[in-house]
Amino acid sequence: MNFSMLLSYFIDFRFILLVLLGSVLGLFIGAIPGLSVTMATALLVSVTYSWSASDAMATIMGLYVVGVFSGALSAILINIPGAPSSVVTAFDGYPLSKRGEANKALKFATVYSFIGSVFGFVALALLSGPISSIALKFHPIDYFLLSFFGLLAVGSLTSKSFTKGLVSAAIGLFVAMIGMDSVMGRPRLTMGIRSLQGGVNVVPALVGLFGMTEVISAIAERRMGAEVSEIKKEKIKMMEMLKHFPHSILYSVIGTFIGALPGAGGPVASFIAYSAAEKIVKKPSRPFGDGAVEGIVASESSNNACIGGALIPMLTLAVPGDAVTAIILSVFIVHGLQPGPLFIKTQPSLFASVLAGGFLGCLFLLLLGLIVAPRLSKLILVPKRILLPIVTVLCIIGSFACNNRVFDVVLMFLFGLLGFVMKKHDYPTAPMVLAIVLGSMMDSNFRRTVSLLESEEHKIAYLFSSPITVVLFICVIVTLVLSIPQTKKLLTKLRIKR
Amino acid sequence: MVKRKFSSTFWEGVFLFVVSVFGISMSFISHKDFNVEWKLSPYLFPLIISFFLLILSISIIMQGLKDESEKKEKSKIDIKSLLIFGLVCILYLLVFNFLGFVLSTIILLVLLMMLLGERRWWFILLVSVISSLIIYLLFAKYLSVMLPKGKIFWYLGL
Repeated sequence: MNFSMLLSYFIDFRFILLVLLGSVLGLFIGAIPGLSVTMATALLVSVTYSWSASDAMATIMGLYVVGVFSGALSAILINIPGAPSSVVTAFDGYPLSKRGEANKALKFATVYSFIGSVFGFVALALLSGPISSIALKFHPIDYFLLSFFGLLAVGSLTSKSFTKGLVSAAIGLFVAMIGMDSVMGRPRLTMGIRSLQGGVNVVPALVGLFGMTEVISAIAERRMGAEVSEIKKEKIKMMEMLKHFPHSILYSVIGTFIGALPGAGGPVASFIAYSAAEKIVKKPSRPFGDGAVEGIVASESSNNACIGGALIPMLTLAVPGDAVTAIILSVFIVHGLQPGPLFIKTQPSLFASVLAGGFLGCLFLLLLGLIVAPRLSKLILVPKRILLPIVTVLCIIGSFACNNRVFDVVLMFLFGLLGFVMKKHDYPTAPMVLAIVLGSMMDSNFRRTVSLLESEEHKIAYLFSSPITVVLFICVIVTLVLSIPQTKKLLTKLRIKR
Repeated sequence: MVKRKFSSTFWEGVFLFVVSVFGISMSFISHKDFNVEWKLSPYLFPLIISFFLLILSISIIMQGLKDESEKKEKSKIDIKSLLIFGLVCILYLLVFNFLGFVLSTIILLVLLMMLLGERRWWFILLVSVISSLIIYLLFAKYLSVMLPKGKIFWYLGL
C-alpha cells in the first residue's frame, strides 16, 4: 500500500468533512436505541449511490467507527445498549451512572474505544497485504467453502439454536437465487413475477430486515421510552485513565481476531474480552458488574477493534465478517468494484480511503466522545412515537431510491415483516443478510467447481489438491460437528466424567 | 379422541418443510423445461439448498414434537396497532404516485404519529411537514432521486 496515498486523504478537506458527517450521524444513530449502525449503513448505501466510491467510503467509515462506539452511550446512560455489541458495556457502565459517575464511564468508553479502533485499523493495514497474497491462490471451491464456512459460523454464533441459524441462511440463499441466473440467463424462482426477474436488490432487503423490522417490533411491543439518571461533573487524571492500556491491547487483539472471523463480531468479542478481563484483572476498582471501569475497558476496546478485523476478510476475500461489512461489500458492488485478493493492488487509492476514513473516524470518535457525548443524554430520549414514523419514511425512500420503483418499497415492507416474524420465533436475521450478499458468489463458484471437476480425471484428488482447500474443509466440518446439539451434549458429558 | 396441541416450533417446521418441497419441485420442473444436463443446470444449486432446508425443517419438526408439552410464555403483541400500521403503509403505497412524495409522506407521518400516541396536533403537523420537506429536498434535489411529484398536481393544472 502506498503511504503517500493515505496521507493525501488526510489533507483532503472534503474527505475529512465527509468523515465528520458520517461520524456525527454515527454518534446520534448509534446512541439512540432502536436505530442501529447496520440500519444506518443500509440507508446510507441508498444515499451514496450517486457519489464517488471514496466519498461514500469516507461517510460510511465515519459512521461505522463512531456508531459502534456510541452504542455505549445509551448503554451507560439508560441501560439500553444502542447496539448489541455494547450489551457488555451496560454491565458496568450503568451501575456507574446510577452512582452519578456517568462522566467517568463515558470518558473511559471513549478513550478505550479509540484505542481499540486504532488497533483494528493498524491490523487491517498490516495484515491485508499478506492475506491477499494467500487469497490469490484460492480456487473457486475455496471461495465456495469459505462463504459456506462463514454462513455456518454466523448461524451457530448468532442464535441459540444452530438449526434456526442455518434455516435463516438457507432462506437468504433462496432470496439470492431469485432472478435471472448469471450464467445461462434463465429466470429462477421468480414465480412468474416480472419485477423479480432482475433479482431482489440487496438494499430493500437490508433496509427491510434491519430498519423496518425494528419499527414493526417497536410498534408491536409498545416499547416507547426510558429514563436518564443525573450526571455529576468529575475530573479524571490522565494517568489513571491510561493505566489500563496494556490490558486494552490484549482486548484489542481478541476483538480484531474475532472480528475477522466471519459471523462473530462485536457482541461475541466483547463477551470474550469481558470474561478475559474477569480472569486477568485481580483487583478491579469495584467488583465486576458493579461499576468496574475495567469491564468498560474490555468491552469497548474489543468491540471497536472488531471493525478493523471485520474489514480484513471483506477487503481481501470478499467474505464479510458481519452485517455492516456485508453492507459495505454491497457498496463496492454498487460502484462496480469487486473486493477480493486483487483489490489492494488494483484499487490502492480506494483501499487507502477505507483506511484513511477509519483513522479519521477514530479521531472524530475521540473528539465527539469527549466533547459532545456527555451532553447527548437528552437526545437519546427522543420519544419513539416521533422517531419511528421518520425512520419509516427513511426506510421507504431508501428502498425506493435504489431503482426508482415502488416494487422495491413493497419488497422492503415484506422483508420487514419477515424479519419481525423471524425475530418473534428466535430466528436470527444476520445469517440471512450474509447469505443474500454472498449468494450469487457462492452460486457461481459452486458451478465453476462443478464444471472444473467435470474435466478432471481424478475428481477427489483434485478436490484435495491444495492445502487451502483441505484446511477450509476441516474448518467447515469442525464447525458443523461442534454445532450439532448432540455432540455438544457428548462433550459436556466427557468433561463431567473427567 | 383428544385433540393434540402442537407447539409453534412444530408449525414452523411444517411451514419450512412445505417451502423446501416447493423449492425442490420448482427446481425439477424448471430444469425439465430447460434442456441441459444437471451439471450445467442453473437449477442445481437451488435444488441443493432446498434439500438442505428439507433436512433442517425435519429436524425442527422433531424438535417441535419433543417440546410440545412445554408451554411458552408469549410476549404480548399489539395486533391492533400492527394491523393499522400495515393498512396505513398499504394506503401510502397506493396513493404514492398519485399524490406525490411530499403530500403522501405528510399524511403518512401524521397518521403514524397519531397511531403511536402523540396527541399535540400542532406538533404532529409541524414535525411531519418539516421532516418530509427536508427529506424531499435532500433526496430529490441533492441526491437526484426521482421521487414522484404527484399526478394530482398535473390534473389540477399546477
